[in-house]
Amino acid sequence: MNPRQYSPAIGRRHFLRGLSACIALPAFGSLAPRGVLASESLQARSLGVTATGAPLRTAFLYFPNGAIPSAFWPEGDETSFSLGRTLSVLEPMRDKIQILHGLDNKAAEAGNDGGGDHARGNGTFLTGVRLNKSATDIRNGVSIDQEIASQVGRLTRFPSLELSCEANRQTGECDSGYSCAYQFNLSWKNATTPMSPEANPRLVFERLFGSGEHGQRNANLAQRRQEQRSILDFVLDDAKSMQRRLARADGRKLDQYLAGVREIETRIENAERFGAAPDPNVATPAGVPTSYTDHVELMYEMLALAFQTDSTRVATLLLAHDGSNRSFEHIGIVEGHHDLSHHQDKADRIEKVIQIDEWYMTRFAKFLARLDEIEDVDGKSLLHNSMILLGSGNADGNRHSHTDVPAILAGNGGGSLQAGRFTKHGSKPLANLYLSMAEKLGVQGLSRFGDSTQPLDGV
Amino acid sequence: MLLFYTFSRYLAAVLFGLTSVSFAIVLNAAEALPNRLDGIFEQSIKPILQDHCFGCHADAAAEGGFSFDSLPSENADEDQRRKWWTVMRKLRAGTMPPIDELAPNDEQKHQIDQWIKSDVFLIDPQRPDPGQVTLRRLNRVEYKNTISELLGVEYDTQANFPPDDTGHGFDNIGDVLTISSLLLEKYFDAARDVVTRAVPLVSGVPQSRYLSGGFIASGEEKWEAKKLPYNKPATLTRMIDVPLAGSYVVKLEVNATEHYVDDAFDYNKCQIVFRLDDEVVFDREFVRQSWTNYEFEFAREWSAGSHEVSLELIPLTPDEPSVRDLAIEFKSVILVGPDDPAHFEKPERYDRFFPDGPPPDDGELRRAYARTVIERFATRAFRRPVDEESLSRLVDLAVYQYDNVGKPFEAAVADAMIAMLASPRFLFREEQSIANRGESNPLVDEFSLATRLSYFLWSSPPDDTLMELARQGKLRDQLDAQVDRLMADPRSKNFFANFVGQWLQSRDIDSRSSNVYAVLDRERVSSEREEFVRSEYRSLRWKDRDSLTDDEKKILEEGRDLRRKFESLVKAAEPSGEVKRAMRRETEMMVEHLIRDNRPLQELLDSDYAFLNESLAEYYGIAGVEGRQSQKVLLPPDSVRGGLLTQATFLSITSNPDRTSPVKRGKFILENLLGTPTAAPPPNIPPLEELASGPGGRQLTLRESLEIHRENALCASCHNSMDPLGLALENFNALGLYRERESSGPIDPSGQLISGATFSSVAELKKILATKHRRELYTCVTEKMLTYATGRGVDYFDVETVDQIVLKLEINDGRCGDLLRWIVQSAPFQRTRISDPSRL
Repeated sequence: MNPRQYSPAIGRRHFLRGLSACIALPAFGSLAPRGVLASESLQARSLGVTATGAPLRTAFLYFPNGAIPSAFWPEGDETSFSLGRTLSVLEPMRDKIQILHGLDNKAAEAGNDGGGDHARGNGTFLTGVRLNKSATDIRNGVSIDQEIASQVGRLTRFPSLELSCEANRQTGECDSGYSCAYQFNLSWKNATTPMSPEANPRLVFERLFGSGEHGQRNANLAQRRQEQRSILDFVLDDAKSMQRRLARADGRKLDQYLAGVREIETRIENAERFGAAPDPNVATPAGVPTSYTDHVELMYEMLALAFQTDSTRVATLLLAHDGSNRSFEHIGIVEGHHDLSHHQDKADRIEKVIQIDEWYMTRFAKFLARLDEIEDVDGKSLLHNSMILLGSGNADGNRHSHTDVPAILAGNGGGSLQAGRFTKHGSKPLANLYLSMAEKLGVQGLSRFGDSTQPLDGV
Repeated sequence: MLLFYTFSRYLAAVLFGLTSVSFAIVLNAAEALPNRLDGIFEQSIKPILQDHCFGCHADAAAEGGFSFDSLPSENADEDQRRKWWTVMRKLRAGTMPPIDELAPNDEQKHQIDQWIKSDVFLIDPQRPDPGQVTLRRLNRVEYKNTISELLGVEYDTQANFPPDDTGHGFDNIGDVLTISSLLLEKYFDAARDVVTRAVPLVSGVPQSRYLSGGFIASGEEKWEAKKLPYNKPATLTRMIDVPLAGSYVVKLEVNATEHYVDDAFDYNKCQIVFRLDDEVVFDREFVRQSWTNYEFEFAREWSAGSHEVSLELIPLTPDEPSVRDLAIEFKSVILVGPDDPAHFEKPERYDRFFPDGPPPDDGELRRAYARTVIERFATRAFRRPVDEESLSRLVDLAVYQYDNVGKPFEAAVADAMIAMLASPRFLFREEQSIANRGESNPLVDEFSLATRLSYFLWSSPPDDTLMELARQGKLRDQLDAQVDRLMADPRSKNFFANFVGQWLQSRDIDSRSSNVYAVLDRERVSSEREEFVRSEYRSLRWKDRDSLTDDEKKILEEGRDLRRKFESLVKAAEPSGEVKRAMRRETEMMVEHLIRDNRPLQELLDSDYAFLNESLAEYYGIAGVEGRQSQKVLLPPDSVRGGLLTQATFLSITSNPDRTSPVKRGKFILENLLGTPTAAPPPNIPPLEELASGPGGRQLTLRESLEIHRENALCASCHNSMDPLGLALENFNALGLYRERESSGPIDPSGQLISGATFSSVAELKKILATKHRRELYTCVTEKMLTYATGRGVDYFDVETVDQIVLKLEINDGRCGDLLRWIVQSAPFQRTRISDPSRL
């Protein structure tokens, strides 16, 4: 094959061109919440929907190694503030985001556990509980996206979507004796089961919409469900009989297996309840792009597409694991991000970290602009009907601090969020924000989460 | 009574953590064991600890957060035992007491060591605790190999499955091989995919005949190759003899090729006409198609007898220059038919899955045949005989599919196979023990042993021989011979790729990218003139040439020259894909050589040979190596290479993209070769190398900045052991290339180890490590291999197992040809702890 013609970059551009075409399709809009509201609105009228009845989506996005605080935080007060250098690229979005200062991720602090702030920052970001420091005995907590998905997830084909831009792992040990699982998974089904994220855009797309070309995908999905169903009974029995034979630690592995089987069952049931899946009129993306820029942008597109088609309302995206030492040669930075983040107050190093922070914000701004372009069922934009949190588990990468972690909440939550503000919360648990977000999503019975004290005021 | 005795001792071992009055009897039983050194703590051990340790670590003193005050000398729980284990390791490694404190003598150290083993860990040297492995899921590599063995098809797990989590540096650790719903879904899909690709889904298919030869060419030039250039007319014809009248499909396979030329385009066009018996069935224009495969099918009703097939190429652009040698590669014509079941042939691979031919028509016999086929497959998929209940369920599944759903017999059986590959019994390695022997730590059964063995040495499932031996119960009797057989099999390359690739991280070299400019820039030594030219050049190059003075033009020329020279250096130092693969092979072959040729392990650190091919030898600057194959090369006496520490894999994976990191190199040696890792750095401490710049803003050498930071006692406690090791290797840059100096000055590799030994070069350091630190190396390699073999981290109760193997290595002067065998014979590999202690 001619390498030129099939280069991933071109493949991606093809894909993106195709995507703007599919946005014009009215079918998506009408597809989304039809039937759902009627059948699923028994307990909580507002579960997973905005006041107008449109889907309310939430995503948790993670960038690594914190940000240079002086360049990150705006200056000024709640409504009249000027964005700092790092966030200046978000200027066009300023009325659609709020920047939250004073949120702490105390669960990531060292305590008696010594080194490992990257594993902790990453692992606790969405759970707010302390990690068990061990290479193999993994214990975290359930993450907020899964807590939300356990209720909101029933409304869509996929309860939640876990994405990552980390397609490879280094061998060797991870951060200071913590299991690598803490650093490469944001989302946790329960204390011992991370939700492994998908890093291959093609596989994300095929999972959502089916394999093959436009027009065939629905049939392929239906056939796949039929095939899955044919073996479910057997493997379920098999797992149960195996579980009876095993010791307890082994039984946990089987629990994970059984939970997976039940989820596939639910997925099949859901698919039947929701009818045909949307089939975007675009080519399926090629595999993992070689360029990191392309990879990140394509994953953002997958996320936009999943929300646009109401395939899910809950998602997480790990842009890079905390401690990532990726070099950014495409913007002239040859040193590793993590190494640079320990900048020793040297101006040239700080400058480079700021450039990397800006790079992440630029991708984020493009994503928000994309969501803002897409019209939702109620005539508002997709961004308006979303709550998108972008943050990092470390605040200042140089000091490994976990107070005042970077946090940007984009979207208007369908009108439930007061965007366009720079709010100062004065040292509140990050988990308080999660409580508020869950509340706005109509999640019931969640009075505490992680190290939360109460829902965050004035979000 | 003996039975109770053993068991109660076992109970004592696991329950000390939960000590309470009700266990007194059990404890007494344990204490009565002859090998316990009663009362010895107060008499002999405590006085030594008092003299050498308590000053800093007792009576409310707790340097480094550690105190003996809260550490009981008996009835220690699991956590407390692990603390004693740390004491033991520090004493053994000589990292405690610190160098300026009085250390216990060897006899005293030995006493403490023995006491911890027998009285704290309650180890019975005859029957070490094998520990318990958490149920292991097949990882990506094992899954791929297993599918390939079972079905004969390849499945790209790297692209389709999420990466496996690792623990203790390996990706086959039961505890961290989790299974998420996403992964399970992928397993379902993969099962369907591989089975439908591998297993024939019908009994017969129309016959296929390949007609690639026998064509007669006519045209302007004699046609010899199968490639038809766009610009030369050609016609190929041949007659096909069709023995039976009936429905046929004629398939035409062509490939549009080109010879790629950068920045040039080829506008040639041609027309391809395909005829069957003079009837045009295909007529199409081709422009540049860049390696696209085409397959066209034409259905014909043909009478018996001769039929003509012809392919004609008509050039359409006679005047267009041929830039890229566009051509149509004529691959084959395939005749499929007749479409009559009476003349069908068996599909490919039919016998592999259905050895007794097509299924019988009779319902009972058909079911019996399904059962035979399924049972055979299940035994291999589950790596043990399948129980009657599961077997009937699988047969029911198949029967339902062919009786009720109406699928062909083969497709229905394939459905049962798909179910098996999605089953936890395929995806997990379930183990069983030989029960009812009254043993607390029974042997695993022979099927489990066969599976442990084959995944350890092959990363693949047991083959027919292993399964047959296990079935006969003879595997244990022939264990040594089987280890030899497995190691002689080509699949044993997986052991070296996966174990060595992860232990010494040579796997990572493939995805490693270094910034060659930055690395070499640190080594650039310039005259004043050159410095001047370079700085002037940067501004001059953008100026209008005509406005430059002659002097400036000269500077511009010189600057260009300098840049060209540097760029050619960079180009030479950039390792190509081939060189990187050779680097990886170098590390893996080294370990393979030690084991296969029964060489002393210490040669890993210090050897007078290396494993190179021509490209890597050239990269290293070693003459006289030829060919693409990596081979053992005897190094010249003055060579700087030899041993892992001078291999480019190790040297570059422990570096930053732009420069070396002596700390990372030192840390790697401590963790992966000497087995004496330092404590994790305290939180919020930046990497040492980065901190300072020197007086007047001069850039400090790495050595200087590291020295400054070791002035801090807390930092020094660990960095004194890491940094000298790393600094000794500064003669090798971040790419693994040798250098004598950096821009900041000549490199000084000399230093002193924490043990006090001094060295002046990396050669001397290698000697010291390979002689005085042999035991540490033996222990470290044994622990790493045991971890990989058992799929769990080494724990305190493994100390005796490891010591016994290390002793054998010492007796054999490190010769490690039998190391794999000793691992296989060890209790953790042979046995399992009967139950989960936390359950009691």
